[in-house]
Amino acid sequence: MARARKKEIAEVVRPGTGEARKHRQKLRDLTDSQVVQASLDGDSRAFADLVRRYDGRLLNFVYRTIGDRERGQDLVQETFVRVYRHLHRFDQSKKFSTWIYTIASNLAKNELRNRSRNPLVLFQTIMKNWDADHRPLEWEDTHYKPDDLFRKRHLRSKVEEAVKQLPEHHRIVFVLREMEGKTYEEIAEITSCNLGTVKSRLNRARNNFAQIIAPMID
Amino acid sequence: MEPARAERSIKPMTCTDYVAAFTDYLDGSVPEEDVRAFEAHLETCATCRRYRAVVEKAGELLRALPQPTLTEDFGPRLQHRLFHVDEEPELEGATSATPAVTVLGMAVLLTAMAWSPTLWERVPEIMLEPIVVQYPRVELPVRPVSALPEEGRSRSRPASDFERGLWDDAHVLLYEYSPLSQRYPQRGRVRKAGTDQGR
Repeated sequence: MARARKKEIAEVVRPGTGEARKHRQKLRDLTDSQVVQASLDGDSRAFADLVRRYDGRLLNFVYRTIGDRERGQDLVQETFVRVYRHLHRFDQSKKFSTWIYTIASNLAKNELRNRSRNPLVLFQTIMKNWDADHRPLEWEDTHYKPDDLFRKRHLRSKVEEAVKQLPEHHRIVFVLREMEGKTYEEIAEITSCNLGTVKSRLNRARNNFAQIIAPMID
Repeated sequence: MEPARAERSIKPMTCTDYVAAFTDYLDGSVPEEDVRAFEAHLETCATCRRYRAVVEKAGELLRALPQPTLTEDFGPRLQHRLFHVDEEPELEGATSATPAVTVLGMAVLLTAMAWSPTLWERVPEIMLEPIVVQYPRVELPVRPVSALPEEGRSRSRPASDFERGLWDDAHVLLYEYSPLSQRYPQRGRVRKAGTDQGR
């Protein structure tokens, strides 16, 4: 069993040829649950397929949540290690994507919590959250247009900056909904919140996000 | 007839209501009659129209952001870590449950070692000879009753023959006629020492 798993791990980086390619193609046609079952049954390439399915998506989610690409990559690795270690405990009546996102989300939250132990960062976070939670829901028409030559690049960096400016608990919900396309129910499960909280946070996050980038959109 | 009734039933919506419930509206999770209320409000409110346009555009921009790419060493590093996962249960066993047992065992062992002289070694009992302490007899000057002044003595009960005979002794006479400094030699010395210290 251990030898089979070692072979399975080797597939993460070494795609293989011929028959292996066919097998990989076959795995791609399976659902997540079927691939998980195949991995549990000893299919040496199944776990590698799970990694290929989720590595980019998880990196995008974790990176947008914590705002650090290198650290995000470390957390994605840690997510896969935990999945690998506890795959036999996964409840297959549930969605695998929700489970793996929950693990990644918890790791991202821990990362943010560890960072917030820095007193300066903690103060800035409190002030930012306070502003976001207590800002009145109003909308003002502003007119501001940057130079058209740099408009696209500027807009992209502004959007990325706007995501980073969101309070942490809003940002996770916002990224899961807007970028990962998760349903409210999935977000509630991933973040361990109730539906009302998810909706409220998402509404606030959308409002704050739109306010920040509104001057760029006119 | 039906549409007219439906239009009459539409509840007017304020901008605050619109923004507060906008997420549900955008994600299509509001009932049909509420959708009509949202749309009716949009027709009349330019600010909310702009709000909707900006939020929708912001979402599009966000989804258009380039996805971060994994570095080349991601695969090998993950492979390296996963290779060692199979070894981890043994290590986990050594680092999670074992320490508690080990610490408990060590504690029991140390306690046994600390108490071992008491438990297993019998201390020999040595019978010592009794020590008798003898204090020198201190003879305090006793003032006989007959030496007391007349006022101090009870007049109601005169001294009996026995009492008189008791004090018929040379010591009594010596006491009676001795000066005060000799009657209370110790008190005198203390007083003297006290006066010396005072100086």
